[in-house]
Amino acid sequence: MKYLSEYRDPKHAHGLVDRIREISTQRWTIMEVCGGQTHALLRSGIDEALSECVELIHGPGCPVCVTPASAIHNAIHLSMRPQTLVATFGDMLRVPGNHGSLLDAQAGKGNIKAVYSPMDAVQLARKNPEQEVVFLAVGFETTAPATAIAILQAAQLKVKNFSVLCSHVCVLPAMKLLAASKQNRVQGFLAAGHVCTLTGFEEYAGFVEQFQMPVAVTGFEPTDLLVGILEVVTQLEQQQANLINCYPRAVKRNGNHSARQICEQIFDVTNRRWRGMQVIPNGGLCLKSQWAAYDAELKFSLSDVDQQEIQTECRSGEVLTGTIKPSECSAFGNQCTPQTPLGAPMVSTEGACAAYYRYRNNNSD
Amino acid sequence: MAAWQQGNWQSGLHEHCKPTGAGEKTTMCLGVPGKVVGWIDRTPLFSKAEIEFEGVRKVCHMACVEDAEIGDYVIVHAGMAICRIDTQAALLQLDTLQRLFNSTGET
Ligand code: SF4
Repeated sequence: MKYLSEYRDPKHAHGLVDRIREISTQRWTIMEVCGGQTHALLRSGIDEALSECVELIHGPGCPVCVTPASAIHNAIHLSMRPQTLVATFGDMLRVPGNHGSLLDAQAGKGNIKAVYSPMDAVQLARKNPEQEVVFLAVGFETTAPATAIAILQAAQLKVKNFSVLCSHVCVLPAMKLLAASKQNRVQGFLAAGHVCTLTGFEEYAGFVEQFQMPVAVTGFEPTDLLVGILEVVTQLEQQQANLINCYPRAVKRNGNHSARQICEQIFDVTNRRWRGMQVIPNGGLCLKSQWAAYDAELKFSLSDVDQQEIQTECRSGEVLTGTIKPSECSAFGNQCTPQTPLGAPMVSTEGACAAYYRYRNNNSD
Repeated sequence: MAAWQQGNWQSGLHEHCKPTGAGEKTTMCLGVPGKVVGWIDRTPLFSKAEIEFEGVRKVCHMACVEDAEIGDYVIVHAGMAICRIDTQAALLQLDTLQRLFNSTGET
């Protein structure tokens, strides 16, 4: 067992595709929430294989894409501060803010370093005691525990020159917002497997109840995705709305206990603006007040002014909510490419625009 | 012809997400299964292990999966193990799929 190739067996894939086609009496609309799933679906061509019976709408689960411009702005601002180093995930660097990206800032006076994990940023702080190291923390519940661990490590090691610019987001509140929207076309959801690995899926029961839509907790390999889609289509055909875990090798009802405990110690839930979208009630995590010493926003008295997005031709908000497909954006593939991205969804490894560019660009017209 | 028809599922990892031995990869989304091949540090909160991904070894943080044992598979996301893979659950699901789809078309 390698837990990879077993889930790419063409026999299973063909069988599952056939089964979904057989049972579908109409074309259903299903949203895969996570950008990692979007990439996997397009890479394997599952979206095309099922196009007659399932329309897959790509969800907002691209953490880099939804990180608000104000977070990028604050990070750039801090990187220009004397004796300050901003550390973040490599994916974040090329994301355009309102006034350029972190990479642009790095080319100028900004002191910015890409790290593999927030714990690496703690190590940077230890090695450079004369510098303030600020970690720009982005991502869903999947990356939040690492940020929490980094803070606990810093506290235990008495590292005082480390802090966090916290821009973590929570996925379920965004799903609720989409499902409740008047324009919503989604009939069933593939919930993000790795978020549920950490959080568990108990909370989703309320969602299913409230919106009467099937939700399948789904993994990332072709077989995983097809099993999730088959489950949702089966329920839709039978007019059922249940919550089901289609990723049991990685997801347990209560998630990862240690990770949840660690996060509860560090974070409070807060309202957060998602880029291209609106302020999402309970859509983000912030540091609890007892960890204020590690909160870069407080430490450096950053304004929490909710920066308005500068209007550009980038339609990332519509892409992130599944309102349009990336190829419907007029900039797609001409002004906007992975080399010259106008918006975060074209930069990120989880962005839908990048996925379309990579896997669908040849036959886009 | 689409990848699914050719049975040509490329790697599930994004090209630039593939862990490298160099430790220079800084992309955040991984979500990849790997095998625990050795513990480096078992201090709570600071625990680290060496994980092997398709032949490539990488040091990962283990603070959320401290009970993993050598030989276990874990899923690593952004440099940190987020769970131990449940072998039983995996086998059960694969078994169902085999029964459903492996026999058909071969008789
Ligand atoms: S193609 Fe580019 S400009 Fe258009 S929505 Fe996507 S990221 Fe924005």
